[in-house]
Amino acid sequence: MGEPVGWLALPGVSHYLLAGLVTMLQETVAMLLVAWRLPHRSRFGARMALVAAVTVAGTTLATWVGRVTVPELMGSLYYRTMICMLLVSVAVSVPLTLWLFDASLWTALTCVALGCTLQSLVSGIEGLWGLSEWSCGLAETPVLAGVWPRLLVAAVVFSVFYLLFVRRVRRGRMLDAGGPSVAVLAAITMLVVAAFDIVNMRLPGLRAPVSLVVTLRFVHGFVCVFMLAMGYELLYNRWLRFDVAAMRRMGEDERQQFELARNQTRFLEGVLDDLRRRVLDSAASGTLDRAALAELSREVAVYDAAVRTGNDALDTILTEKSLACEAEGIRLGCVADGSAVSFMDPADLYWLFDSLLENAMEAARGAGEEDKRTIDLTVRRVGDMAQCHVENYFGGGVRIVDGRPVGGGSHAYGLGARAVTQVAASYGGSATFSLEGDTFRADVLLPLPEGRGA
Amino acid sequence: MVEDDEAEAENLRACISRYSVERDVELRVTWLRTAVGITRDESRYDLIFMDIGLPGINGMEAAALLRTYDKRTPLIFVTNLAQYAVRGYEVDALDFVLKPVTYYNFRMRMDKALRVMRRSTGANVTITTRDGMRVVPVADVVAVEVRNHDLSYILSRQEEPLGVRGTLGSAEKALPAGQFVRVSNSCLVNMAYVRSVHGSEVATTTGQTFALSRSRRREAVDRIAQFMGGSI
Repeated sequence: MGEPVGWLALPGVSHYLLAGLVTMLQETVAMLLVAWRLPHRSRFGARMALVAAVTVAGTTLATWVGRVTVPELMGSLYYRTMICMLLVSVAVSVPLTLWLFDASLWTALTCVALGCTLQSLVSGIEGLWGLSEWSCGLAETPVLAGVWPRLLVAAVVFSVFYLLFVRRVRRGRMLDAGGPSVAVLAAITMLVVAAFDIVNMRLPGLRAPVSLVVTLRFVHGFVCVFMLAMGYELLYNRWLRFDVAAMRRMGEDERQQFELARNQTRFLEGVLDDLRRRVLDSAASGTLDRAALAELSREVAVYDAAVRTGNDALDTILTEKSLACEAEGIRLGCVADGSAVSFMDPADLYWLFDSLLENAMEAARGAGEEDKRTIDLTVRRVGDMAQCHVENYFGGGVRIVDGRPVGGGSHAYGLGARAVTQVAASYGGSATFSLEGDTFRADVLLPLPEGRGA
Repeated sequence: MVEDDEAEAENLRACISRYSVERDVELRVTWLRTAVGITRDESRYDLIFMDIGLPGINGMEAAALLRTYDKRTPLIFVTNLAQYAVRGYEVDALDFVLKPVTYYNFRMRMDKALRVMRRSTGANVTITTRDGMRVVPVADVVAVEVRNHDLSYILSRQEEPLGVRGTLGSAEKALPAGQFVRVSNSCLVNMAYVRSVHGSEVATTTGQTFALSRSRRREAVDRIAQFMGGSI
């Protein structure tokens, strides 16, 4: 067991180990910073501790191999070693990210790639600092060696990054918007930037003119910043495309409420007028027409659907849809416990039910017989989950492809389902669609946030 | 069906008859005018259609009373008060039909009710342990786990799981397909016991948790969503 201490005591090795650990610390913090808003897995603290232990052990092992057992690795094979190290660290970081956070493979890759790019930026700035000290004769090597200056650089860069980017990511959903294309793009960029950095580090030792190295360092820094900004801009735009529509509609809420109230008043006037006439008629004829009364009660039922579920956003959307259905002769029956979904962001909630019901209405319109134009919605709490079920008849060429309905003659059809799936996924839940005979069913299940359960 | 209004009752009965012919299911209907009958009546029903606005004891109160001694009989509220009907969830209502009842609306609800009722009505599973055969109601099986060819049936009514040799595949075949979901390569969970799905864990109402593997997560959660919604 004396061996590790023995090799640690070799001249320079402990210094390399320390430098390696600082780099790994920067790398880890950079990745965590990017991924932080993703949902954490259970026992996150314990998992973090294990990740830290693995990182320290890995770094120690790598230092020992590279500096003691096979010194050529850091000598003649320097570039190959560094590239291999980079690939290995990405290959290890992606599964570790997946293990720490509840995310898809592509999201994890995006986080790792953006994290590496961020660390590369830190490394570039350190290089510039080291170079300036060296050329002013303040240091013996062109490498920034002190632990505290290196941590200072990282702290400053990370803080700026946090303020500019991380704060804009809401609950990590934005990171999910990228998918494979952004993940691959970010990964390739990261490799280019990191390779650039590795070459830059080596240049002063190869007696390249200081001015050239400084220029290249600046170029590298700009590329890093540019790529980070581009990556986030790309994610942000993709995410906005889905989210802003919902937000805008929420913004129009007040105007809609006004129109809603006005429509309701007109509708009520009509119903009252009708009621007065029919009562007069039946009084005149001496009979009470059951069918006419049944129809009246159906019309009045819309006020029952002018819903109060105990959740304002849900009330707004359901009332709006009830009126829209009424106008088209579609019967919308909802028995909804609004408190079950009170943990949802109002915009998400509005978007979810708007999409679900738009889908159902689109299908119900084509259902043929008037009796079949009926939509049933239930929202309830089951265990520690919120469950929504929408069921309706459909007509005309609706199929389920890849788990989502398509067809029905409208492009919007599949899009609505996509939106439902997205919202459900952003809450760690699921949305499924199924057809059986002439009925179409949508089921959404959302876990209640921890602490909201019974 | 519990309904005080004769015309409504006739309407509902007509829907049931039409459904019975169309779907080729034999349905026997008993009509009660007040909910008092249902709480007194010792005879068991398979499904109760309950009006909420009843004279005397109302449908919601009757349902609450019924639930004090009968947790299982499925209840469907028939009502024109959707807002009030939400309280039906508290008495574990299976579903709601809004008045006036139309056939196609009724059919949708009845299909769902039959799907849910067919899940595990009285089905048993035979487990051959070292001590002999045990016949266990499927409804009592919370989960089945496997470790090195040792299956353990986790049951809701006993502390110790039942241990048997076998594979999870064979256990899966012996259990009704619509009721269980594979949450990992080594575990089957009865969806009726699922309380929550959080990240990589499934928690049951019996207080246990089971690991949800990443590769099976999406499919499993989708199935649980359909099960909870009565779609399967």
